[in-house]
Amino acid sequence: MMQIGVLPPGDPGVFRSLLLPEAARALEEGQAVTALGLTEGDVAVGALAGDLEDGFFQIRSLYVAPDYRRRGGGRLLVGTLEKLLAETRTGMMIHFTVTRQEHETLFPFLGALGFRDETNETENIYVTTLGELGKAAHLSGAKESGVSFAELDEGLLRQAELVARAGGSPRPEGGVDGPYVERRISMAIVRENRIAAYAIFDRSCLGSLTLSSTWSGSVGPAAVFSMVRSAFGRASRLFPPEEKIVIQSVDRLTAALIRAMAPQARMISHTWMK
Amino acid sequence: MGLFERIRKRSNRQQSVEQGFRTMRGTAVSQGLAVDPEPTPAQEQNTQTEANGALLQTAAARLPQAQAGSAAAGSPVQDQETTQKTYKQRREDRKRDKLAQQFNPDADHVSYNMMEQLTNLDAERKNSMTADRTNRAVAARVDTRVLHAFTQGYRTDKKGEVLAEDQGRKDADDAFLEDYISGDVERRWPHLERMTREILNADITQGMVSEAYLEKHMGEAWAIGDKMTYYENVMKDPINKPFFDAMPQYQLELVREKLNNLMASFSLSLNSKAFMKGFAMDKRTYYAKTNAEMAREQESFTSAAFTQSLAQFQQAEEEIYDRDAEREIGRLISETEPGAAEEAPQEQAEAEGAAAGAPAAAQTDEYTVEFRKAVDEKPAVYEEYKTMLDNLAAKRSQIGASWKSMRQKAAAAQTLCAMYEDASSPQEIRRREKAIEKGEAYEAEAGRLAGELAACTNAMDFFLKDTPLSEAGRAILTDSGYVRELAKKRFTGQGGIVEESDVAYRNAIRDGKTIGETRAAALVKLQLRQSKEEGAKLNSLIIGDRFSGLSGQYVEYFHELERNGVKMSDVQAGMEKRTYSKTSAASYVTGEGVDAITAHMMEMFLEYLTSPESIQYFREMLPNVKDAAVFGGNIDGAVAFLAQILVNKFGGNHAPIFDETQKKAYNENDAVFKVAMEACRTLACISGMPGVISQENEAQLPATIKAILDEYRAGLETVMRGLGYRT
Repeated sequence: MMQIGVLPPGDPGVFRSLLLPEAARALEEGQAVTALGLTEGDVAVGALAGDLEDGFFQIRSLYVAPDYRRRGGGRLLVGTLEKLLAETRTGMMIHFTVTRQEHETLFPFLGALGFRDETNETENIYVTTLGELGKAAHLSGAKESGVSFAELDEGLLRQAELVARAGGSPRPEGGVDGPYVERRISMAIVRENRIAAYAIFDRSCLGSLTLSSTWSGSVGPAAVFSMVRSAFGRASRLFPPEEKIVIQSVDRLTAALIRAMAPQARMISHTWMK
Repeated sequence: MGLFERIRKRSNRQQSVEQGFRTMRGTAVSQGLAVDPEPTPAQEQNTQTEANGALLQTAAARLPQAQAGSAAAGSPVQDQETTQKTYKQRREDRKRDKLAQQFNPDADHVSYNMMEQLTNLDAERKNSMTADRTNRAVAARVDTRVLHAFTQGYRTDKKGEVLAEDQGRKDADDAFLEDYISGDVERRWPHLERMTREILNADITQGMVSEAYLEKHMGEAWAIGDKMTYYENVMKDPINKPFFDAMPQYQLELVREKLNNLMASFSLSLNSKAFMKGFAMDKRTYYAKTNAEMAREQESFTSAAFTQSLAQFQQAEEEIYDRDAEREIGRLISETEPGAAEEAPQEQAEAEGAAAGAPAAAQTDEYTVEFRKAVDEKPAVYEEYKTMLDNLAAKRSQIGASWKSMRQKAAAAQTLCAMYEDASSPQEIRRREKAIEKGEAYEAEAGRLAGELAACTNAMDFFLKDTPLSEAGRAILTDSGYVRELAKKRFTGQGGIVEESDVAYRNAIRDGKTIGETRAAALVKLQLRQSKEEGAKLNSLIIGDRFSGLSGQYVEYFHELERNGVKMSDVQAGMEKRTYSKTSAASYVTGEGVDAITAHMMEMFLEYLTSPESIQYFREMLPNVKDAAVFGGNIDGAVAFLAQILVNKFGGNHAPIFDETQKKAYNENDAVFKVAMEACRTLACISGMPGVISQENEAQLPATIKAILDEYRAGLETVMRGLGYRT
């Protein structure tokens, strides 16, 4: 019979392998993380960890070992947590990304437990492939817009980085001129010897080609759309059709653009709450 | 960036937003408005830390610590962090904070977003509820609030044309409004179905009154509250009566429960959330100012009330589905087996008849025939165990009826599941789940009853057919109070314990064993000496608690001795160990002090041994062993043997004198332990002497020990008199 116990802060012990590394680390550091361990006999078979934030209990890690699934262990973990939260009338929230088939089991599981899907479509990470993008009619035969970073002077990129940093514009983690930027397909529009807009690709998400930052500056969103389209055209010449493309939507406009360019793209960032 | 690093980063983000708040509030204070001090970011962080600490404490208090020696294979993997609010989104939030705070210092982007959703909802509904329709509805005495609540609304473009994607909503509203205003129940019917569906499907949860949810879904939440409020009017409308008369009972119960339990507390909770955010939800306006403390108190009160209502509703909902499943299962049973309802009382009568002592009457199942046959074949056995067998037969009949009923219910539940197989609505899915749950419960109960039925059959067959007794059969006999019958059968029945003892006795004689060895071999086979053996277990059940008070008296006796100044170490020093026969390993101790103690303990034991309760025990147990060959027809021998078992088990058992509560309670623990143990051993030794010790050996016993032996013999005589073997 499966049983639930609490993991005291300090040492998750054998439950460490059943927690996401960040959750295990937080426990080890003695942070006020509520963590529950699921056992069957002497074997640790699952764990749940999280903390209260913004009026919700944020589930940071939830896992039941594959050999012990479909036996009510996950339900027991979440149900026990729910009982603990009942007095304070606190709801639960879980954010997760779906990048593996295993992750998809969370959907029916959470649904059956009464969680509702609160995934934000306008702010999400979309994944598709170059092959899927190539099927979109508006990409074929499109005229190239802007110039690639590879063709630009280093000084212009440096200047763009300084401007972005000062103005708080979106920029990749290593900077506009940083080492992680995929310069062959990142595009910029240059006006009066300055970068006026850009669409930057790197491999920051899942190691795949990622549209990490777009800035329309003074030229308007339409120009960004053209640049992105050009970038995809370049990518399709450089990489095979199965190459994954990751695009993060930041608002309604970018979400609409992604849907227009890649209707097959699927969201991987999910939020469910109860 | 790690999850918990993100938490810290997010709290920094909150800090920058908070600084913005403080600037605005600083202005408000300078203008002389009464505003409570806003908690600082550090205070908020502390509150969150405290809440997490409290939760951790609750978990630690309620749950055991998780312990495991190893972990199952597998680990969670998260390849990619989830998305967070973007820079642009945060900038937009700040802009909306400022806009909202122009109206009320407690308002922020959440208030702004809530208000925007409500005003949009109003505007969209107004597009459907035109002035003309409102006038026509009033003229037709149709409740316009109902129309308003159940209208979806639609959006228009700058030219006032309906947006293409909202055309469907407009069409649906047009149909609904026209049909409802018509006052024709037939036309209203499909809309009433939709309205009911909306009420039933409104999944109201705790999270729905959270700020995070309402920031994005205030419009939906408001609309649900609105619909629940005015659905009551729909139910009261006489035109709609045929619809509600035809509504399935469980749906009607669910709707009523939702309206009675949830409607008010949900709406109040929404209102107080809005109040906290500085705006009046009903009026769609910001308050000029709000008393933050009062708003928090109100929110806390309404939130608690909502939580309670939600719990009550969930409980009631569960009960409604439960009743519905039982109702449906009952209906299926009566439909599939029209005679089932009449059959049950008949079976009941059979069971009652059997219980009243007519085992063969009116029982028709296969086993009943077998039972009759066995009774015919073994009339003597039946007569011997008549009461028990009749009662077991009645019990079996009752269990059989319950089992049959359970099987019927399980089958009906299965049919019900099949009926709901294509369930698509949440209610039908819940009905299916409930049917599955019921089916599983009935199956489990039927399984348990089948086990009891088999146990009952086995117990009866054990007596009537000499079938080996199963553990379950034994349990049903002992649980039903048939220990005496069971013991009788096991000791004296064919292949029983006495028979085994007799075989051992004869074999020992055949093998040329000494009298002592022969006797020992036969007595061992009576299974009374080792507590784990069946004979000893049955003997214990028959003894019951008749001797349970003795150990307490022993304990009190040793405390009394110490209180009276008896030094147990002196008693111990005066003890001398002896054996009464060269061939016997049994030893006793003697000495000035210990002999007196042994004599007192024997006295206490004999009070129990010669009591009417003890005599009754001998009456029940003696017939089981008295005919064993080892006793050679000598009742005295059998009584002495049973008495010896009692001495070993109670009178000569020193363990209770040193149980957990007593072993450190004596002045001289070690000495008391030693003296008590040796005195008990002496009692056990003495109880083995009658009928065994030679006159010569007896003559050599110390006078004090001989006196105790005589007292014991006198006790045995009293038992014999009590049993009627002496006059």
